[in-house]
Amino acid sequence: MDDATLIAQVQAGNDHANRFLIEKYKNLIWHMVVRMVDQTEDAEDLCQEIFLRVFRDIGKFRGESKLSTWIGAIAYNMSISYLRRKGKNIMVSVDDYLPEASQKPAVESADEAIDKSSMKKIVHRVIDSLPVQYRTVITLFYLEELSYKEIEEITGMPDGTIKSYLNRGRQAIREGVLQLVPDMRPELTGTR
Amino acid sequence: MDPENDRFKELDALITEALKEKPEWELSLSFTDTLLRKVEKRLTWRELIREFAMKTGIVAGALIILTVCLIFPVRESINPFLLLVVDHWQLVAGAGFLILFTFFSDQVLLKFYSKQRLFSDPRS
Repeated sequence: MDDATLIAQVQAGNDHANRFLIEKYKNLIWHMVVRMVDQTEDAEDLCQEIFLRVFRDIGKFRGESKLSTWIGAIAYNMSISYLRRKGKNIMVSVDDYLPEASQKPAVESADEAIDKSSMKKIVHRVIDSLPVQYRTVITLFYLEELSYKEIEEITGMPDGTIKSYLNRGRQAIREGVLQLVPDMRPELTGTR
Repeated sequence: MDPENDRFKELDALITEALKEKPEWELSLSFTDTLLRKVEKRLTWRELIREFAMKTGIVAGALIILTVCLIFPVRESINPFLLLVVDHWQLVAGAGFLILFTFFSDQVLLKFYSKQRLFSDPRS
């Protein structure tokens, strides 16, 4: 079902179209929200609010962008509003970001074996500690596999900013992982 | 091949793999059904309010037209009636509110709550 047909059916009050729209876009919204908001109970409520807004405003969709990016933009703006309401500082620069510097390293000694899944958990810990814009851009690019243009439409950030967030975010993740797994550092310092 | 470079590539590959992984938490299984019920409720409420506003508008419009039609032929004798209405405006406003509230309850509240039972029990 293409976007125009889906929108027409939703506006006509077709239950199956409503269900189809939710099923089609719930993962996009959930991934964005859970990475941005970071609290699962609130995240699910926020997802519902986002969908209710989508159903309310779907008549305003003019087809100038893809439906997915229009829905993504609603999810992004509502998540940012939610964070502002909660008093979270959303404009933190990655230069000010210290990847869990005060925490103990995840691995104490080089003898301690660290498997792939543990390493991934460490990577996710570092991602969760990144500023919200970085998490959003990284999620949309890597997880949702959206193009720069689509990310631009969702977040309203210029192309250059998105690329910069991706590069600096990735760099920050690498540094964060090395900080949490110090036994990797001596071997890697020569290449950095 | 430089083993340090290999480890570095390995770490980069691992980061990319982790970035492409779905979040650990998932939406509840009932998410779609719960949301659809909410959407249905809101749409029903909006529709009932719209119908109520239209019906009220039609009745009010008809009453205004009727009043104007009645007032014009008997302009001279209408003054005492208007004075009576003005003197007892609280009573008139109260009666108007009561009629409107009864109409609202019948057209919106009762219909909404009877439909809500269907939302909460989809089998019925």
